[in-house]
Amino acid sequence: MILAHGIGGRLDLPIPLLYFTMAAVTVLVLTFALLSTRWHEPRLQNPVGKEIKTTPWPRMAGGFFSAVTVILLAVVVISGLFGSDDALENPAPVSVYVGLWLVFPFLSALLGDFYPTIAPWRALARWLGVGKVEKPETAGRLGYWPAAAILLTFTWWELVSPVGSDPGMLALAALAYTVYMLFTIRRWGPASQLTTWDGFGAYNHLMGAMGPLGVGREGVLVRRGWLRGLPAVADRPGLDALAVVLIGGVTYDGLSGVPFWRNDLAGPLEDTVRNMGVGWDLAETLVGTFGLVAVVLLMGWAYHVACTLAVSVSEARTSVARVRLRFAHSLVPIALAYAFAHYFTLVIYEGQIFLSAISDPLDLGWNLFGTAERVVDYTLIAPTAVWYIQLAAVIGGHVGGVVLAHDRALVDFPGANAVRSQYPMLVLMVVLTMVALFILTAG
Amino acid sequence: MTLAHILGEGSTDEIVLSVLILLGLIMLLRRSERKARRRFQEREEAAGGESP
Repeated sequence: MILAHGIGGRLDLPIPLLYFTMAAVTVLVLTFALLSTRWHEPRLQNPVGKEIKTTPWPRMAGGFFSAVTVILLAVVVISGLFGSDDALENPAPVSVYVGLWLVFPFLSALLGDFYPTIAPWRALARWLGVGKVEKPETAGRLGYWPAAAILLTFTWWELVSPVGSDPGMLALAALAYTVYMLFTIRRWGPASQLTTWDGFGAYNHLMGAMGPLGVGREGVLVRRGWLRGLPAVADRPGLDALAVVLIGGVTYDGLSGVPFWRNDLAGPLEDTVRNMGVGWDLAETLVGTFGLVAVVLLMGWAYHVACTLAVSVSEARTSVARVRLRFAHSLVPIALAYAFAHYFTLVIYEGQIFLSAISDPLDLGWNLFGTAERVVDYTLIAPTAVWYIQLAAVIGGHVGGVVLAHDRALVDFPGANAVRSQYPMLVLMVVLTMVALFILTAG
Repeated sequence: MTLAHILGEGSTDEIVLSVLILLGLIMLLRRSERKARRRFQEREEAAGGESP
């Protein structure tokens, strides 16, 4: 994607990065110590929400926003195929990379998982009467694995693929994904398909579980505390992979902008590949693909090691694979923290491109909403404020992860072993915090 | 690329202060674990005393 992230550099920091890092680590360790000494009973494992009186508003809002997202999907396809080739003038890239990929999950985390109600593909399936029968067996067996693969592919498309910023290719991909979604909804049913075959459905499902609005046992709307829905997320196969892909994808995006990565890792590797007779673009794509997969695998390996050590030090009679699934929900606030800290400036600044691009979606000189000439306002938020928001997001996400992991440990590792089992997780979260702050400032 | 680069091109003072903070945090963790272990033990004993 050619849109700039608009993130300040290290020189903008009022005090050295090391001090910020130490402050973040101190907050994490203090949280851990407080939990160890004051939190001895699981409190989050049976989330109860307060039922919200049913009004026609949610249904009406769902219908309205469904129609809006279907229109936006049509805009992505039509403007992508027939509009400007410039990603900064065409509404397709900003709709997908900012709207679908960032705004949807951020709002899910803020409110609750509204994606199933307003996702354009699901609305289309409802209108066409597709997917009357639920077949949950396959979803139960495959879990989140297909969704994790789709999200990794999407991340590759956006960050590595040479056609990632081509509106025409994006339109074709949107069409292909629409066909794929209708097919899988018809084959397995909309509920069974949601978090298994739809990458964005699974992503929003995890983020929405943090939000204060959820669906109770009888399908009623409930209000609950923030993070309270996460322990109830089904620990089906691939939940750990899904969380790792989300964190790994953002980490790769950050690292690929760091001079050390460009000059000392990717650059020499690309030269080596080119010396084998491979063209410039292909060499860049191959090295980028390798880098993305390597970073995701490295994240997965770090989480696996933390879980292995947790089992080892707690002397629990459980498998590492089971622990990886049981604690994967504690990675979700970290995934949100990574994504928000890294991309919220993208939403604020490059998201404004939508306003000008949507006024002239086909590049015909129109000014449908009077915003065609609007330029991006980079003064909306001060760089120092950006940094402190990023810092707060990173610390808040990791504190959330520590709390969730501690509460789950009280169930899975009885007695004082619960505290001991969490030392490896604490180390992992300290490392993830340091990585997040490093990539935010070194790019 | 050195460790100092990764740590934000920290000066010696910054790194020494950070190491001291880390040592303090490790001591805090050890203390809180002892306290937690004692609390869990008391809870187990109390639970054992209540049940016949």
